[in-house]
Amino acid sequence: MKEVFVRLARCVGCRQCEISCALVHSESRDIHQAVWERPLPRQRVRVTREGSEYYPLRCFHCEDAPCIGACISGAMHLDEDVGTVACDTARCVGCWMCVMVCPYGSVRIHEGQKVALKCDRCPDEDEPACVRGCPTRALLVKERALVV
Amino acid sequence: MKHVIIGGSAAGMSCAETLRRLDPKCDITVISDEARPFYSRCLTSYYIAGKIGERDMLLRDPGFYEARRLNLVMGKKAVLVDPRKKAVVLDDGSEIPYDRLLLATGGRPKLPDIPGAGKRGVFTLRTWDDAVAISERAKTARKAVVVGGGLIGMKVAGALRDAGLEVRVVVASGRVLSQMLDDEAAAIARRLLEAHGFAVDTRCDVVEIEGDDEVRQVRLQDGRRVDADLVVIGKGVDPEVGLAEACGARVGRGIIVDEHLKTSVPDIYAAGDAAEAYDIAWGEPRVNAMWTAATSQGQVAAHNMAGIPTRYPGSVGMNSIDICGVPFISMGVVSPRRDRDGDGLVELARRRAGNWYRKVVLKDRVICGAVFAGVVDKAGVVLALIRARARRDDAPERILADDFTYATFMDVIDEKGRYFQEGGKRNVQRIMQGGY
Repeated sequence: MKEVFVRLARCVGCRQCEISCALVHSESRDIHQAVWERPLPRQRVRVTREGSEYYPLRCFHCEDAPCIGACISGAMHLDEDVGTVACDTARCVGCWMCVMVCPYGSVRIHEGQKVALKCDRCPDEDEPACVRGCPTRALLVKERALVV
Repeated sequence: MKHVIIGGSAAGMSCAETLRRLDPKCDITVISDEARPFYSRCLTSYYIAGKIGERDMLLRDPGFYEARRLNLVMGKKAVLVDPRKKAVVLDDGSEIPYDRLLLATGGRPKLPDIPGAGKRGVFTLRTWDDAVAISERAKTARKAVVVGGGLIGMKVAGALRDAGLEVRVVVASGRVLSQMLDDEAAAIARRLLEAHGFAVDTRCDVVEIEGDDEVRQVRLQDGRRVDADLVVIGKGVDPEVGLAEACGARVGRGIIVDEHLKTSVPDIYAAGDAAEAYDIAWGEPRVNAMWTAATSQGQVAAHNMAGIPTRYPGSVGMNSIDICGVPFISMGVVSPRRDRDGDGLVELARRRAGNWYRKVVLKDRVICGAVFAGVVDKAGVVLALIRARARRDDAPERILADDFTYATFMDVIDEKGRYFQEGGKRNVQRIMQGGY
């Protein structure tokens, strides 16, 4: 199973991953048009600074995900084929139970659409957009078993 | 091994599914007094509002139960548990033997003694059938009175408003959502409700429901009479402990369980809204009637029933509600009572423009509760801190300033967090070990 890993020492806090993420989730996928879309395309990864280090925080796609157990509508589910925690936004009723229980703060509210917003690990891409967009290769995809 | 589960909602079904995963061969029977397959009880208000349809209520595909070979006994009530014979007796007289039994009997709406509460047009909301009856009535009704300002009351009030009714909420205590919110957050909620056209009466009660067969008016404590053709009573829920009591299990407010979710009767376990299990924030057993607690208790009970000793780490009472488009989340100790909860309690709060409000409650400098209004992103990080019982003296200020992320607290959350022992720990390592 493939997984996105972070090499903290390489992250310089440029937030290119955030831009790539928002762009790949936009309608037009063109940065010049995407900035005019309403609601604005939102990023699912957030770079945060803690002390002297930067942390690109995203959904860890937990094996035992609290957000799935808390979801009252069945929207949040495990996609067994690819091993991701996915949100079927058509079923999301906006109760924010997932926001309440995610220990990583990785599920947010999509203000424009009033549904849960989280990383989907780019199911239609060869490589997640945040990884592709990272200029220092701080983010990278590896087989889970090879690293842990 | 014959497993029998009484109750087919969150706790019961998560137990059944986990049992099947752990033991492909065992015999699993789920008894439910409702005739409907596993649905989301928390969605009933969305159903009344007309936001979701019948299909959306169901949480599993039709073939799910067969695929997992779960014997469903639906629309039948378990009337007796005989721990000597190790059998459950149903209301049709039949008996189902068990080796291990789970009581996931849930709760029952409190019915206050209001004269006229038996008239047509007066409802409680617990089941899907209740929701169907209310939404049927709401098609022709124009004025609704909701008795009780708790979570159910507020959700049904919002749903009826969405369905186009005029809604009045009558609350006995001094504020709406008195269990879930503190004074300040409740005041924000009330202002929102009134700005969106709800009538709200606090420190008031309905003393009589008037009309011939059908409700026409309600009489309030202060003597006023208000028109109503639909009344929903939402005065809270009592744990359904009858079966447990009758078979000799220890019962407090709910069915008392040990750290393996075992009752005082051999081979009988309890989980969900009926169970009184350990609460991390309060440090004592409490009934936390929540979907998420029911799900995880069902899973833990399943492990123990299958012979895999598993400790229940405990829950934190919490809830999330959207009021007129503004999110509210609260968790743990929200409104501490100084007389009872003693010294060492500190409440720190901050209010910003709009509907932004946040509070943390500390006991002996450890966060044991929090309230969020307006902006609730990252509330889960605070929950993880509460669960970890970790002391970080910069935590209150950083939470109130909204200057924190998971990275701020990952050391304490990871080190002490029971939360992370089940699967999260590897995730933390994924960040740390990735730094090669």
